Amino acid sequence: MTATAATNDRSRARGVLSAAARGTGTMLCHGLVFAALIGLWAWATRAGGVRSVVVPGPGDVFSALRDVVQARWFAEALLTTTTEAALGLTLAAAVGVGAGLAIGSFVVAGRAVQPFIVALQVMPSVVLAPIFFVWLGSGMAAKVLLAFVISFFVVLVNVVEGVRQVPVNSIMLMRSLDASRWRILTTLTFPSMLPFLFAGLRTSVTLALVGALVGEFVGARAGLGMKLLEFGFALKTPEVWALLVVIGATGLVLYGLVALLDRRFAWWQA
Amino acid sequence: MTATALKGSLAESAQLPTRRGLLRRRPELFVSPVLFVVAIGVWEAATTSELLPSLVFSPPSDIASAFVRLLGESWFYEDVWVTTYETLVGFGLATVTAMVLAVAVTRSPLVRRFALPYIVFFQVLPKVVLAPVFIAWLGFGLGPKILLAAAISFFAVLSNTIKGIEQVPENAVRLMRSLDASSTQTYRMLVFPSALPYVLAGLRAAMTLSLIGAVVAEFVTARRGMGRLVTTFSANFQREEMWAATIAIGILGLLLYGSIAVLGRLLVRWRP
Repeated sequence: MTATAATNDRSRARGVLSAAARGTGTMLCHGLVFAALIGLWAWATRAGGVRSVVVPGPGDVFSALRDVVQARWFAEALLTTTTEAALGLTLAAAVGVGAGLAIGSFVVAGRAVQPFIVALQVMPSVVLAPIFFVWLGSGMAAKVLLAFVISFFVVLVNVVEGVRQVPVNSIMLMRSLDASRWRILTTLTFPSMLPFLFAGLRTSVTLALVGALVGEFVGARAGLGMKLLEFGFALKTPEVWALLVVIGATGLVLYGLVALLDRRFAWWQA
Repeated sequence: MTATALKGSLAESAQLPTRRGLLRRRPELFVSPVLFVVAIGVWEAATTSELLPSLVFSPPSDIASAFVRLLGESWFYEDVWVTTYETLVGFGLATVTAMVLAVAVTRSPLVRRFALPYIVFFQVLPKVVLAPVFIAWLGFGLGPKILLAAAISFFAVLSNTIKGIEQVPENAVRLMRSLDASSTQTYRMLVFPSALPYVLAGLRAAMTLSLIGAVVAEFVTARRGMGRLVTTFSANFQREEMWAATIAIGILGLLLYGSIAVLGRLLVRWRP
């Protein structure tokens, strides 16, 4: 028995080791592919004689990135855009959970607003950007509102879905144990809706960033989207690409934060 | 009321859809329109009584008359056509390239393994930021709008097509192979038809996204198009016209989405 346990241990250890080796091997391969792509990009722009206004080489983009990050406006622009997106998303989560729980719990209310939700979900809501600009001016409020509107419906639809999938038997069990409506909502409906909420938030975090950026396209005093257009019209293409890298990284970080919250609060979901 | 009596009354209400019964079973048929009318009414009352400044929040009646005015202008239809054209060409471009890439990715595990991180990265990237890049490449014409429409909708089609191809049962593929079906036959008779519902879900999302891409690119810079109309009205302080044009974009979105949905119904009629 001890012998088999020992072999089991050993084989398991070997399994872990080889998995780790395979992991580093894969990482290495990915790194090589990435390096090859960058190399190909550098070679193509240089050998092809492409002007950096059209397609800048990786060197141009890298030095532009260094300049952009060190520029005095950068911190403010990054903070503005991130705040707009984060605030819009947080509002969307709060209002979406409230409205979603109400719609999911009351059948008549849910049915009554269903057509509006479907119609508004299919509509391209970013096009409201100029209207919000007229309402709220060139400050952050218009962008927060746009980020909110774009991400709200995704959150709402997911929360409603989450409330509707709560097993009827669980509700009946709680009711038979004389639980109040409020008790059922807080101890059963809300927790079992959480994975759906976070699935919605994962999608809408990118949408919130889109809202903030498009809001800035239409008119703004600060922000990454405004700077992007400024560089674009000045034909400073390396700076434009550098900002694309910054915005992409911002999107990834925001997405990572939502994924982290997901794992923290809806941990029972794989 | 006993259980049987309850059952009886339920069956009765199901069999005899009187008007009251209909209202009770489908309350939304009554409540939704009322809700809509009430919301518009409140908005109208708030703006005409200057509770909300009517210069900023245009009254619905003014928006409606501006909308009717727009419909009477011949140039309006040119703008509608430009945006529709950009959206549809971008959508077509995205659909074709995404499907080809999806087949390539699912055919080769190696390609899949090394392409996936980049696909995920571009999926999380807010694609609207590519607008200035496309404008730098293609100028101020229709090109950058079509390209942005395509870039925005590309990943919706790609990820759904990959999902659709991957859910084809392994045993069905084996059966095809055991019947000596060629690769083309397997794709034509098995893989494409069974992936179709997934692809269509992607296409529905992609259609709305394409319109968003076209309109946002027009916001940035354009000579014609509905996005251009909205920004021009906004700059000229023509609030009602701005609202009307925005609503027109929404209606165009619904029509485009609806046409894809109808097409989908026709294509997968064989599914229960």
